[in-house]
Amino acid sequence: MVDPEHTAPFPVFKTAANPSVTEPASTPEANDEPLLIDRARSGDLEAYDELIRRHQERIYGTVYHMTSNHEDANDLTQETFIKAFQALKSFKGGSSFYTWIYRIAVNKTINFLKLRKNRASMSLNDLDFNAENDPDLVALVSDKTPRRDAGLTELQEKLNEAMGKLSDVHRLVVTLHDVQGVPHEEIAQIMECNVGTVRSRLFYARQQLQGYLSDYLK
Amino acid sequence: MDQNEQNFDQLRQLLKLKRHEVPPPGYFNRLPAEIISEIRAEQRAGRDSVSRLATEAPWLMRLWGALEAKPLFGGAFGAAVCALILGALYLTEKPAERPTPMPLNASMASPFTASSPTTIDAQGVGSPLLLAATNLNNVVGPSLFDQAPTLQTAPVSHSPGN
Repeated sequence: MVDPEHTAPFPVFKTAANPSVTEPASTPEANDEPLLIDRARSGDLEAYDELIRRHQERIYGTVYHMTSNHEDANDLTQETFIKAFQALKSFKGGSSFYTWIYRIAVNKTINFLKLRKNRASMSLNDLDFNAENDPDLVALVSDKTPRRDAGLTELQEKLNEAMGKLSDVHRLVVTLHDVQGVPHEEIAQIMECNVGTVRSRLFYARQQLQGYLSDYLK
Repeated sequence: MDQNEQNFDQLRQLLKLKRHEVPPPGYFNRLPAEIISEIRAEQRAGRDSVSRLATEAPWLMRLWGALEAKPLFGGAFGAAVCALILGALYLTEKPAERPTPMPLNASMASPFTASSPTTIDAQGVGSPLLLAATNLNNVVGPSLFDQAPTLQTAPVSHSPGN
């Protein structure tokens, strides 16, 4: 099955905060991004504030799904944007700004996870109200639990535990593709590997997850 | 790949749950301001340290300015600093010269053996002194031992069996 959002001419993302809204990268907002970057590069913090607002949800989302911990995700997101501001002079525009900043976030997160290794602790965010009405999720839990709300929370914990068992690169590829909707080509740029590697990592990661979550899948 | 996508359909549905995990309300309204204030604080700290350096060590700032303005001068300065460091390293690693052993002359053949006048003062004439590895060639004038009373020795008669 081909997901239409992954064949779009421009990357399309569903934001973590509002998954029902798709945000094409070719909006007028995206067109003025080079100007904002130039202004931020010359020290204009208002321009940088605008850049943060545009990318914060995706960056936070990636880091959060990698760490399963809100506090860690908050720290790493802040560090990512601070580091990006300091390194803005080195951004030549060879790749898009969001790929560049994603790369910073991913490197920071993977380094952090290497250090954290054996003291991982989950601090999960709450589910939004839309989760209860999502037909896909309702179908998954309604057969198993009489209380839908409790079922979703339990499912959330199990899902995060299963994600935590994956290696960092496999978790990253699942996070970027299946959770955040980033196309394979963009993931390849972010992870600095080829598309084939992304696909094979995604396949392996899904297989692993399917095994861990077999009790929750029909 | 389509077959694989089909196989993972349910998993992908389940993974959609993660899109519904959201940070506390208002988080994304606060985050940019926190990041910007952090950047401002770092900039202030950077400016403060530079301005403190400028007031406390203006010569350093002038030197830095000169190095920045003339790369050739900067390179020469860097090379000089490297040479200094290498020289210092060479000198510290060079083994220290061994002191020449003190020749024992006739006046020192007695049980009273001096190392230096200060040693004598400290230890007293009456006690046996240790031979120290001090060069006495530079000692000017007669040694205090020359003035020390010579010991009288008397033969001791000893007959085995007593």
